[in-house]
Amino acid sequence: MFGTEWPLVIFTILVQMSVGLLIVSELACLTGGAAARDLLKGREFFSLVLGVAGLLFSFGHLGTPTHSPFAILNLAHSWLSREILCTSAFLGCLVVLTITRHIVLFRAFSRLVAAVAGLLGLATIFVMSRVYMIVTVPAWNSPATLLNFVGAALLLGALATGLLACSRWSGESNGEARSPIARIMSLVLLFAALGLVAKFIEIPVSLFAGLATNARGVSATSALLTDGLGPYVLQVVLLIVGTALFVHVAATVMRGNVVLLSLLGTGALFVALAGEVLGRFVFFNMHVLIGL
Amino acid sequence: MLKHPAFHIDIATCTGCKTCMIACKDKNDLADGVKWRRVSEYAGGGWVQRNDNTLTQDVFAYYISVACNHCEEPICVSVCPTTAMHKDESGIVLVDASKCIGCHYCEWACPYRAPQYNAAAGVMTKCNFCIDFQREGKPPACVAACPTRSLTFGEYEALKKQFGESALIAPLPDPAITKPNLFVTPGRTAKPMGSASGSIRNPEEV
Amino acid sequence: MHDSQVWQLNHVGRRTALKLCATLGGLAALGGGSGILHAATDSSGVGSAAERIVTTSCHVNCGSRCVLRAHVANNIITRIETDDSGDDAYGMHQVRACLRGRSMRKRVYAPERLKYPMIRTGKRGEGKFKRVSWDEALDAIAVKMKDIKERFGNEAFYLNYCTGNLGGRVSKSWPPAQTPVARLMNCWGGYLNHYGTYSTAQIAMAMPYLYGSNMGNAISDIVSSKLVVMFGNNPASTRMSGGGIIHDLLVAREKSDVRLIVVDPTFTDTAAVADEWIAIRPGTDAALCAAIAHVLIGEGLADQRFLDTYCVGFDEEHMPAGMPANSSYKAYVLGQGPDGQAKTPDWAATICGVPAETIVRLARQIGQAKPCCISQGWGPQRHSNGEDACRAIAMLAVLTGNVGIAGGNTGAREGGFLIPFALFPTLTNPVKDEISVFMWTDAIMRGQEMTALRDGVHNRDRLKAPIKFIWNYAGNALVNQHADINRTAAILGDESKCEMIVVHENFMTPSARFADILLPGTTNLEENDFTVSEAASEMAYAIFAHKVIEPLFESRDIYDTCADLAGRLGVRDQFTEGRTRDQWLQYLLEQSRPNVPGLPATLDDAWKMGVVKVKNPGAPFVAYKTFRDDPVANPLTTPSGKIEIFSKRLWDIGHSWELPEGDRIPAVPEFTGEPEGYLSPRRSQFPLQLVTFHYKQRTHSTYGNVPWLKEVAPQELWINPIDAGQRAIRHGDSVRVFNDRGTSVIAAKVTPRVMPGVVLLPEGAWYAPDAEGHDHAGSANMLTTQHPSPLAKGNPQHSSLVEVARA
Ligand SMILES: Nc1nc2c(c(=O)[nH]1)N[C@H]1C(S)=C(S)[C@@H](COP(=O)(O)OP(=O)(O)OC[C@H]3O[C@@H](n4cnc5c(=O)[nH]c(N)nc54)[C@H](O)[C@@H]3O)O[C@H]1N2
Ligand SMILES: Nc1nc2c(c(=O)[nH]1)N[C@H]1C(S)=C(S)[C@@H](COP(=O)(O)OP(=O)(O)OC[C@H]3O[C@@H](n4cnc5c(=O)[nH]c(N)nc54)[C@H](O)[C@@H]3O)O[C@H]1N2
Ligand code: SF4
Ligand code: SF4
Ligand code: SF4
Ligand code: SF4
Ligand code: SF4
Ligand SMILES: [Mo]
Repeated sequence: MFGTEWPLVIFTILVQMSVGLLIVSELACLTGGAAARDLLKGREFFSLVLGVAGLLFSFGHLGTPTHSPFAILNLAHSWLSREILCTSAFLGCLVVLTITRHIVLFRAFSRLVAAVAGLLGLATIFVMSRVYMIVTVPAWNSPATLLNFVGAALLLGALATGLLACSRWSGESNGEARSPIARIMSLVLLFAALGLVAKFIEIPVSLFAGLATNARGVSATSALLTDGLGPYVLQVVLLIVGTALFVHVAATVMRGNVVLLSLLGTGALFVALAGEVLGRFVFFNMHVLIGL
Repeated sequence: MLKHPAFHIDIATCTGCKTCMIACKDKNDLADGVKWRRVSEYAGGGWVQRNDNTLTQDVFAYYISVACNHCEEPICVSVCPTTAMHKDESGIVLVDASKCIGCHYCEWACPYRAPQYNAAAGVMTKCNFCIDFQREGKPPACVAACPTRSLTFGEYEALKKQFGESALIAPLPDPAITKPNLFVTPGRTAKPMGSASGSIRNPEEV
Repeated sequence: MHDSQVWQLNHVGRRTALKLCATLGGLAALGGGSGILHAATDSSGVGSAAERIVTTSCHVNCGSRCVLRAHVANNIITRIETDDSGDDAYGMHQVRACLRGRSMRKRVYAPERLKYPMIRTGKRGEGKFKRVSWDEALDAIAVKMKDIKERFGNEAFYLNYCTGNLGGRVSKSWPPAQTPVARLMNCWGGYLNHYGTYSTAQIAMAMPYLYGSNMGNAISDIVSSKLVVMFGNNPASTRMSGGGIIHDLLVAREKSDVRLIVVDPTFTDTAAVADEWIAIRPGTDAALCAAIAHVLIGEGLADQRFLDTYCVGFDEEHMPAGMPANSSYKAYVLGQGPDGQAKTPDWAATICGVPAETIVRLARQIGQAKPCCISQGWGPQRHSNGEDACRAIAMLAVLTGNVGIAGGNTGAREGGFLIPFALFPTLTNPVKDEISVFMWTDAIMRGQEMTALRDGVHNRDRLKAPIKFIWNYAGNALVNQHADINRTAAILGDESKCEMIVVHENFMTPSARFADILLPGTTNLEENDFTVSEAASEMAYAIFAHKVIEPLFESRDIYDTCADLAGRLGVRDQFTEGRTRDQWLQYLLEQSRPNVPGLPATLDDAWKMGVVKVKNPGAPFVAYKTFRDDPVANPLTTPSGKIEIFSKRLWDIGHSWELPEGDRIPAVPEFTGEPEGYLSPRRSQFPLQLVTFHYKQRTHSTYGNVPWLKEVAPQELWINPIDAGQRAIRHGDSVRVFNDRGTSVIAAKVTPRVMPGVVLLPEGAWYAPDAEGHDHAGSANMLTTQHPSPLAKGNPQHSSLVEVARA
């Protein structure tokens, strides 16, 4: 199960996390004002690092990476071409964003650039899901794939945003709801919750889509529920535990207790991440072709 | 060279001997595990053991040899990001190894499992309809090999006249997806497309 | 050389066989040139300098013979194609090789190729050898041969059953009497011969008691049939050449659209193109056939006129003199014989597993279809009751009067059309003693105890000497293909018993590991030879197989090997008669030319010609047609001249031979139980019946080391979902197949294509023992028994009981 598609597992998750981080952190800054911007400083750069790392990992999947410049030759038909283009555009935009934020002269543009980056990020996630929505692979060819990817972006992006903020937060909020950290954390919680909701809608939908039995007598769902059951259940558990842990972190932050904050935040992120990684392996194993 | 070549397979006489598979491997010197042509064994039916020690059954099995169908609407071509997978003037779907990035996407999408990855070369490979032989006026290696003459090829229009539309036979996928250049003569026990009465019983071979 | 006509060639003698062939094909009537196609496929010397195409052949022991066209560049084979001559019109059609032939270059270049002569250094069977020169190896053989001859006489030399090079003329490896090794031994005092084959021991022995010989109609004759019923016959797997039986069968069936029923424990590849499959428990055909006979007799569907005119022993009115009352076949079927059991469909159903209503329906179909072709493969007879099974099946043809007519058959396996191409002359064997092909391990252990009445020794009451020296040229029956590998290995392991084993081989096979002297042989692509069609119906052919590449490493062909050894034994001139291998081939051309039209004048012409094809000028072959037309003028070769349903000869044998407890030799084709059959008490311990059928991956063990073939047709244990479920076995799981003789570990193929209670392990996988002696290749003979069948003393390799468990 874990043998083959790991470069794609890492690629998709990191890029989705990158998009999520950008969107959640920018929204947090929009609503949180200067204090929030301080707490989330350099967010575009972290996003960029995640995305670039993801892209680099994706090369591990290619048989002949040196031919990769050809990969955008089929924009007219191939969602994979479009994915590569979108991801590159998104990352390019992050580069621009990073630069504009650092150079005073360009700061005025940075909001626009951030908005464009956010939209490109959303497009990337959409296109990425279309890559897998192949008519000959029933388990993938459903809205669940989009939900899966969006959910991952929101959840991981939210957690990453929260982690970034927590790690910077040194004051106390005294339980005051209007403190910058509390505002960020409520937004983070909101998005994490949205992400989880997406996940928990996605799971039954994809199981249903995967019910189709192919000519080999195999269905993605039955294969999942027999051979892949362990990782599958673990994935769900990890997602819930990670999020719960994070809720606990958020509550702690809002009560003004900063002890172990970062540690817990990091832990929460990694637990959820592990869940996503497992889940993504499960996803790739649901590639059950119709036909021969 | 034919204008629009297509394969025909007669399931009623194919014995599943797999000579076509080996002829293809030999002609193209394919690496272990790479099978440009594959013979699926579709079987089903069940057994009832009766009290008097006798048995009844409704078991059936038939073979179907499929390579690449050089489809009219090849999903492999449409998903390929590099255009390495392409349909040339003769209608034959080919991989341009100098462009292929080895992303496996065509392999994921083709419902006939025609694209076969060459790990050593890092590129996708597949049946090229023996285009070189065809240009010399010779039949494809697999066709010339078939001991029972079940596997043939010919001009699409002629085959269509002879055999009608693509047969909707299990375990083949819906031809509407890719419009394969494949004609099938069903055998005695052929099951309809999508039938759940049998399944491919030799996954390890194909 | 196992076809029914060719059986005559071995057993009746060459002259009769030539006559027979000539009659079969009506060759005398053939004008020169007509119906003959010369496929000039050999381009040696022409075309591009870089690549040549050389015509050669695949002629292993699958019954077929195929044309291969090897592409060669720089003495390396780059591709193997097959016959592409002409327009493939039937009758002059292409002799298309099967998957194995097409993978030939993988075999020639296999890593297991033997490179140098070697002498054993470790214990026998351990596989430890040291490299020596050809001279050293041949010297060692000659010294030992002289020593053994002095102490035990020529009767102690045995030429083991070896069919790896069955199709060659000079390099022919079986029957022993047609091999260069036999010629060598015959120049030097002879050798202990064997009769029978692993293929046909029981049927080839039993059918002549019924018919005087063992012949069947050509498969192409089913164009005239109204129904074809095949018992344990799977030409789709066992006659795979596109120049032979499977093509003949499908072409004829396309013409007549005749209904084809397959009776087999397995849904075979032939069943996949048939109309109906009737699943039968192994070893129970005689019960089924008795019940069919019961219906035929009861419903007046038996051809009484035919039975009265052409047969002996059907009913009490037509019995040989002096036999007790109620010994006839009819009395047996109706339950008037000693067992008092009427062979009703209900009685048979519980034994053979076929529902009574199916038996009745089948009987009516057989009785009403005129004519009806009843045929059998050799699966039903490769059993411990095989002599009775094969005659019982033939009885359906006899009862319905289908013998000797177009569209009918004798119930035997299909015959065909042959050309009388000359054989390499091997002189006569001064030693007349013969053992059954299957009894050689016993002849090592207890040679002088073996007698005519107890062990089926031929031409002598008691063996003169135990086997002390074994020649094993191109065979794997020394270990892999003989039954009960563990027992064989133990017997061979005793170096004081058989003192020398010489193996001439291409590969380090399981048998090669047991050699004392191991000689690297050329493959047939490294030598010149001719190969002649065997299993084909309407077109016969000879392939002039030109050497494709120079011998690899230090490999040498068998002729030169024997010639050099003859020199050391002082008989070189007798052996060679001054001829080289090529000169012998030229000699064979000249010997054959009067009988086979269209042969080339010189070897060079032959190589250029590649193949000569001869179309059957007459109708498809019908066995015993002249007898049917006029039984008085053309009697059968049985003592009565008629079909002996009751065989007085068998009666006598049954009453005089010393048989082990439980074994029987009935005079009429009765259903007899098996020591390891469905009714055997042993089934409480080992409940599954094992059939070790012949599989497309290999020709026996030959080609068993080709990865391509393992990929497309892997070795697997076939098991029904019901039996698998009871043992928690899933498709692909590794399982142990075992009984008290051995254990083999292999992946399971869970499939409804084998009936519950039966498992299949295709014969021929290369025995690969671990430290505990468990095989890990799925080698069938880990599980089979050396207890011979009663009459033929043949190999019951489809009669084994086993249990299966997850590994
Ligand atoms: N359990 C079970 N066992 C069976 C059977 C069964 O049904 N069940 N079937 C039996 C039957 S019918 C038969 S005929 C026997 C066959 O048994 P064998 O006669 O032993 O046949 P092969 O296993 O093909 O072995 C032939 C050997 O010859 C070698 N060889 C081939 N060509 C050449 C050549 O040109 N030169 C030299 N030097 N060597 C060569 C090959 O490498 C191979 O090792 O097996 C029998 N064994
Ligand atoms: N591919 C391939 N072809 C071969 C060979 C090979 O090794 N590989 N070997 C060649 C040689 S030398 C020989 S002798 C022939 C062998 O030819 P056969 O002896 O005819 O072949 P088998 O596969 O042993 O048996 C034929 C069928 O008989 C069935 N059978 C077994 N027991 C019974 C029974 O009790 N009753 C009934 N009704 N059916 C039964 C088996 O399931 C099988 O499907 O094949 C030749 N052709
Ligand atoms: S070679 Fe012909 S008969 Fe054999 S599997 Fe292929 S298509 Fe079928
Ligand atoms: S069979 Fe598959 S690979 Fe071949 S053209 Fe059709 S979609 Fe493409
Ligand atoms: S593997 Fe090659 S041919 Fe297939 S989709 Fe990717 S780039 Fe195209
Ligand atoms: S047409 Fe050629 S490449 Fe295609 S499957 Fe047949 S032999 Fe192979
Ligand atoms: S194994 Fe038999 S059928 Fe196959 S190529 Fe060789 S001779 Fe022909
Ligand atoms: Mo045989």
